[in-house]
Amino acid sequence: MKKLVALLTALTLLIGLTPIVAMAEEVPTFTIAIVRHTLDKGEDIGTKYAAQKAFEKTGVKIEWLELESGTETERANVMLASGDLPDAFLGVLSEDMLVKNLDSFVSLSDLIDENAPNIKAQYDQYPKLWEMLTMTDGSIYSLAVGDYSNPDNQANGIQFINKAWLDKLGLAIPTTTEELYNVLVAVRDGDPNGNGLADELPLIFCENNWAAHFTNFMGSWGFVDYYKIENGQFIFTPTLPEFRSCLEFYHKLASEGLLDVEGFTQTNQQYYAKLKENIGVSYCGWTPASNFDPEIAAEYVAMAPVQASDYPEIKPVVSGENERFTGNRFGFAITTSCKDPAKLLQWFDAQNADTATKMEWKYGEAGLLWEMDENGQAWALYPDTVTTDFTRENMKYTYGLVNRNPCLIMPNELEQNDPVKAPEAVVRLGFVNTVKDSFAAEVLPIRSVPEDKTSERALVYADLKAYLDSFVADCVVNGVDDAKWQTHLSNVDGYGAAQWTQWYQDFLDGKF
Amino acid sequence: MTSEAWQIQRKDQRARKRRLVLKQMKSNYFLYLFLLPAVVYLAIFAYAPMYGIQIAFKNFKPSKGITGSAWVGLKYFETFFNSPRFWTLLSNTLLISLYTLLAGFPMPIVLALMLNYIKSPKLKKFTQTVTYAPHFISLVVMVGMLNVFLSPRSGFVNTLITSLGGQSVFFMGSPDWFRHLYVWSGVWQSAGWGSIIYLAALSGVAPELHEAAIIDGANKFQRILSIDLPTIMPTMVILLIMNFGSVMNVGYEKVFLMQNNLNLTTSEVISTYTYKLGLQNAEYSYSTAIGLFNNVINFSLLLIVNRAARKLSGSSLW
Repeated sequence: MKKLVALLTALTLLIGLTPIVAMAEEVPTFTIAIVRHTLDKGEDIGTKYAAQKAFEKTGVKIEWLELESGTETERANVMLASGDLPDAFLGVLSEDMLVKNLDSFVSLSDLIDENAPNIKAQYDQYPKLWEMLTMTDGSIYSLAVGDYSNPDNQANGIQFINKAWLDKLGLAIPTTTEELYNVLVAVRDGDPNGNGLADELPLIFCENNWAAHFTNFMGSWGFVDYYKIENGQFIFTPTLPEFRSCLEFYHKLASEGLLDVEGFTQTNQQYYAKLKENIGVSYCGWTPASNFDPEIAAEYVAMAPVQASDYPEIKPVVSGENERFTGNRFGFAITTSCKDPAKLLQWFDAQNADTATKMEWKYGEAGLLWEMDENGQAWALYPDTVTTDFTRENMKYTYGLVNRNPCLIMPNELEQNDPVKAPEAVVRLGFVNTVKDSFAAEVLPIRSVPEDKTSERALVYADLKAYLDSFVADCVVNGVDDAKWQTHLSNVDGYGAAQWTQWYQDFLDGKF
Repeated sequence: MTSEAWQIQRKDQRARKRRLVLKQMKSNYFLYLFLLPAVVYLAIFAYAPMYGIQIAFKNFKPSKGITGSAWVGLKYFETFFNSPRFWTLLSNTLLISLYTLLAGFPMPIVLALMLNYIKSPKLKKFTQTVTYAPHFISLVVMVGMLNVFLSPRSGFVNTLITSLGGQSVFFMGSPDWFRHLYVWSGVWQSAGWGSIIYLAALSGVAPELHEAAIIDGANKFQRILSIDLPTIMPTMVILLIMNFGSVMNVGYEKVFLMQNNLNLTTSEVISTYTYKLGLQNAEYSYSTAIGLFNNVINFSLLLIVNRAARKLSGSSLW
């Protein structure tokens, strides 16, 4: 009797399960690996408004494989090496990761025409995209995502200076390195923060903060990296006399207590804490609003790079580029593990059908962080429900995916900011406009390179960069004399400087 | 006896020996059962992955798999030996490890001997707890503490130095200070924990020996030299050999956390370099070659020290 009951129960259970199993098979399901942003305070990505709407519209189920922010490179590299792949990567891959593993990805060139009419129309409108996305074997393996060109992103870290302090000390915004030096001395000795202590540390930076690298301070001498491009020539800057002059200037600042040398060692958190102490007069960053309380942030203004007093013929530069492509070229790539790439591509294409869908992916449901006017123009909204625990940045990443979304937002679709309703939203653009005349005239083209070439560059640059970073840091803290400079000049080729320069010259000349 | 008969006899002996071993194994099978998990663990996690070592000699492409990738021989080893940073990496690795060994090995022994002579049990317990405690601080927190305490502007160490009239020192940004900070913060963190095993060994010393020595008029130092040290000698030797086995495996996490552009000349070691190339730049073959080189040196060191220990003290790992 017992056996019979058990058998019956088991049967009922089985019968009950069958429809579920059958249903699961009917719904096409794909796994997409994506980075979970640290500011996202929501539940899993599948619960976002746009993700749910996409499921209702396409009937395709997406299982989101969420990678913790900061671990994505390692984890994706491990997935690629082990062959245990998701169906697609969204906003995870870098150029190296794609190029080195092309065999693991599906060529989309032949699929786009039939399955992705929206994508095709976009790319035809901006043919530069076809060029940027085509790999050296002539195929397209990844599709671009993010904002095609966001004016806020034309510049990177911008140097800011506390105008209120300058006014208090009766000084003008410096325009040359000599004036900058005088300003910093005045700040060190003048106690502009008024706490009665000589705790001012005028110039602050942080090597562990992407917007505050020391190289930002090198712009006065005509470069913001270990290279510059002039008349189609790739020039290695660390051997130029002006490079030494730059190092000597900052060593002088460091030795007189005008530059915070802890910038070379401190963590990002320590850097933010230091900024909040209100002891510096100038630093590099995105906007002061993200580093200070509003009343202090308002004291800061953007500062065009100062002219090097010892090289009046050099035009100062700032890191950035006019009309820069700010999308992610390696945004969406389908792997060979995907059983039906055409279907997944159709799903991706459907997310690019109209501006409203794209904005929903970016910032969530309309009416929260954005709205559309009668002309189809999207406008950013600044809700007053923000708290310090749930800032607008939290809202952006909680409601939407911001720039790791499965769509490419074209320039005419980009949301606008109303300067009257939200004056703080246009502040960054104002800063960008202050420095944009100083963008370098020539930049590296965006083009894919073959696999052996990316490997060559990675190996050479790993050693070269480590050497240069530590040489610069050492010279700024301990100074540089003739002997040290001569050793540097004779050593640098041993670290692959010539090879690296030749690599980029060949790249510029279109040799690969 | 003819050589043939002699051979037959030897074969016979060997067979008998084998039978004996098997019989013993059978009767003690439960002991082998205890051993099984450890053997399985080692086989899966230590021996099976060695199959992958071959990618050091191949141009490994994940999509082609380990067997399908092209053979390049010693190419990656040559690249590493010719790298401008090879000697720096090697000497940094060796200096840091040997320094760690020299400073870190005797400390727990000294601490254990000291604790062993504390009369008041309360004081002994208290001291032990205080010295263990740092062991439980995570490395990230530990390095964060170093950064904060040693900051030239706000750290208490420099505040102390300047208040005594000295010059403030940029500890974390100095290549000369890096090794000392790394080693001594490690000693501070692990000496207490490491002393446990020696305390256990010391508790095995027969009290009669001490009593006899006291009657003979030996002082504490003489008792340590003639009673305590000989007793814990085997433990010391085994631990020393095991420490040597990991000489080249400088704990990469702590070095990596303490690294910055200013101290890179002394703080870049083989393991951090391998991590940067292998996981961050996805140069798997190259980093495997470097890792293999590292381990071959390690293994040779282990063999040498083991042999030396057997000759000198009579005890060794095998």
